[in-house]
Amino acid sequence: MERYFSFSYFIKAIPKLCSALPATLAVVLAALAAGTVLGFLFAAMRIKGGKVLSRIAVAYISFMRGAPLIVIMFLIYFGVPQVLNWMGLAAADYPKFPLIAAGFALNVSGYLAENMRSAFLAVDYGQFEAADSIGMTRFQAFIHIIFPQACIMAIPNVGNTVIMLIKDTSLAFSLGIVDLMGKAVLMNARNYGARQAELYIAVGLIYWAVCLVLEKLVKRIEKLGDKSRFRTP
Amino acid sequence: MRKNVIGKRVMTGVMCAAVLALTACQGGQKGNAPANAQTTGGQTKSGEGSSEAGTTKAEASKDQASKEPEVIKVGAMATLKPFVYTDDNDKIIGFDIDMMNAIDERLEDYTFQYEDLQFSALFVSLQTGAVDMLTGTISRSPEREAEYLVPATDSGSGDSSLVTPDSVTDVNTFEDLAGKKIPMDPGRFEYNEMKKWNEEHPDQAMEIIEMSDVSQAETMKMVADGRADAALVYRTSFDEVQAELSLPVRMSDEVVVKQYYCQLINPQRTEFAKAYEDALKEVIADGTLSELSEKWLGYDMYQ
Repeated sequence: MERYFSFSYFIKAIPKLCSALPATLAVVLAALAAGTVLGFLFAAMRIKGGKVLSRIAVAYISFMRGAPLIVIMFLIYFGVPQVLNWMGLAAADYPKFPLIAAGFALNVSGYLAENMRSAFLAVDYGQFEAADSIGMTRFQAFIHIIFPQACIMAIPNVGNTVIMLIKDTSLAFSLGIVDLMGKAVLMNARNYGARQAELYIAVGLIYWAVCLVLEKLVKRIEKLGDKSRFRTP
Repeated sequence: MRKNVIGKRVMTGVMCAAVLALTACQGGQKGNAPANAQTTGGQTKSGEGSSEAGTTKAEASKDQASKEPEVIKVGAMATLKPFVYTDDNDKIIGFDIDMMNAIDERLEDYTFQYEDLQFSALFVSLQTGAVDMLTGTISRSPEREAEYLVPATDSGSGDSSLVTPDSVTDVNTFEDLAGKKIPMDPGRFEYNEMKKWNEEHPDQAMEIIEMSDVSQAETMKMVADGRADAALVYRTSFDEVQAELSLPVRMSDEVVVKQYYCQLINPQRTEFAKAYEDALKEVIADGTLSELSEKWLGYDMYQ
């Protein structure tokens, strides 16, 4: 049994793997912060952008969701420095982290834009009319009536997108960021893959734990939203 | 009418907010950047065996004071034990790193910085100039020689032999593998050698199980389980895997594939490539690399 599954190696691997958790979370948070802004921008363009802007948004969203993540990542990581060089802004060294996080941000922004658009459209049009009837401007209606409701509707989908992003960040290792999966690959190479099953099961469990925490968080936020939604004055 | 005007106002507001947030993000990330920049690995070990190198460096130190050495970024896959891998603190180590550090000591005008890259990003990094050079069990090929600068001097070599179940002692060469199943990663040099054998000897062809990124230990487990008839494993890895797993398998004494290693250099770096090769010849000739080979592989691969 020890030959096929060493429980002691498995247990020892967990804290070592966890040391790479901050790197994974850093990529996730950076990509999420920039991706939310971009996603909001493109969702707005798609809904209210008129003929030209909405078409640009459609193309952008479809490319970011359709192109393989590694392609977007490589395009940014290798392409941006070259474009900058070409523009005469050559630098000896490009910081790694922002370039890699930007690739993830662009990819996730496509998904977030669609999450936000569907949430916005899910708010009943009657809400706008009601706001109108009490003399609110469209802007006031959006900020005070539509946006809070759309946020709550978006939570489950955004939660899914974030879970997807967490697992996707394992691609960052191909460019040298030692994240959870990267740590497992490095540790695996230290004994020629002799304890591969133990490592991969451990890393799978850690990803699962992170996603469980996130799921709980999403549930809690959803409940908070529900309360405020059905509260009677 | 009114609807449109307000829509536009919302849009402008959103855009302003987005631009502001983006620029704020950029500022923050720039601040973080230096912490992520990789620094050159320690050179403590490589200095031990080369006291001559120390004296030449001292002689030239007056030149060095006036000129900063140019940084050469060296990309390597850190999953190639014992050539390039990581220690428990994720620091990149191995024979290649010690070798590069020994060469670094001899090159006044250059200093090496190491970057861990995975196979998918390795060659595109060199092509785009994200790194200047690649090392780590890379074999030479006409295609690579046409695309990059490849020093004519080999930096080392590795021997692989067949691993079979304990009871099977008559499988020692490719000839003995006719119709037998053997796993191999198509990205590896050995795969091409096996393919070549199959093309040249169609009646004695082996059945290659193509598995990307399969580890050496995994292929040995496959042999032990009967999922494969044989595995092609580095002679240096076998004992270490067995120390951990003690599988019911044996390694043949016959070397089936000998792979010579080289480095690939960005084609624009002609001056550096020349200096590099001269230094490489030196560290081979004076025995520095023989010593490192003993340290990392347990034998002298230059004999």
